[in-house]
Amino acid sequence: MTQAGLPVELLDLIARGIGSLEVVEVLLVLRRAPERAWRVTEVAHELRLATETAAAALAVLHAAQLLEMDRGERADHAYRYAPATAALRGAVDQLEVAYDTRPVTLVKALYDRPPRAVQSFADAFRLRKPDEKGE
Amino acid sequence: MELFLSGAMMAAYCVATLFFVRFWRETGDRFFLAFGVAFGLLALQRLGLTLSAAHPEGDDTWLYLVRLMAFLIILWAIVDKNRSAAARRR
Amino acid sequence: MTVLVYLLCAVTSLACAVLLFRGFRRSRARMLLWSALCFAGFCLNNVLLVVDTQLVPEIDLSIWRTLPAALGLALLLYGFVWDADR
Repeated sequence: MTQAGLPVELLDLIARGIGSLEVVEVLLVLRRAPERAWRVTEVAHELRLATETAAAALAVLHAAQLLEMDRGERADHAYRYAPATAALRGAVDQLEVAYDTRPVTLVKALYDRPPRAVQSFADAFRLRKPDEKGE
Repeated sequence: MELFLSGAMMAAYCVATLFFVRFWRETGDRFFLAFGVAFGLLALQRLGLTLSAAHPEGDDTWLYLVRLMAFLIILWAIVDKNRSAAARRR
Repeated sequence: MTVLVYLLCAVTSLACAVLLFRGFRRSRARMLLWSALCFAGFCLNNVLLVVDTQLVPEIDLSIWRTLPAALGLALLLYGFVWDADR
């Protein structure tokens, strides 16, 4: 069940923890204004999401090394678009292209993934760490 | 007792093969197909061991070759997974 | 040389067990723990085959050497059935 036509880098980006369309939209919103630091509440307001959803999405993206975070009061942190590597940056560019031109395929790729255990089984046999950037 | 155990193990190898084939279809990763083939070979080997126990005068070197092939396939799967880590095909 | 075959199988199984256990530590996916134990059983099975055929040919270890593989398979299937969809 390979995702027809989506680039491998994009599929790996998805495998890093981008699990829903909300996360994709949060990422793309931050990407459009990379010089700006967004607060959780601002992101929630911009995309009309619940604050918890926005906070969770931003946390996932931060853990995937796509955002930088400045700690804020009462968990209202500020995030800025800052992918850790050029490869990640390229993958997010491809994500934007897919979001614009092939949304159905992208949604299928997001929601139709094999369960974690099976994927972890295969990843266990990668001798270099599979979750590090730069591959 | 030994026959029972042998039969149970062969069935278990077959079920494991089915699971690996399912994982292969879910992920598109041929790594799982390789493991499925390897475990299928181990099922055959288990069958062979049982049959050769009934005919002890026969030549059973081929059984070790089947086992060897199964594990070589596993080794190949691991090598293949790491070789294509840079040009990842799924 | 059948001993070499068994040793190769033992080493390969051990490698699989180690990699899967390491993967379990990283991902906390329990299926990997059961799979690691399965390959540890395979390793033991192959080691005992060497022991049985080369070192203590006068004693028949056939049930004892098959048991680790059988237990390993049982654990592998347990893991696949219950933990593969987590």
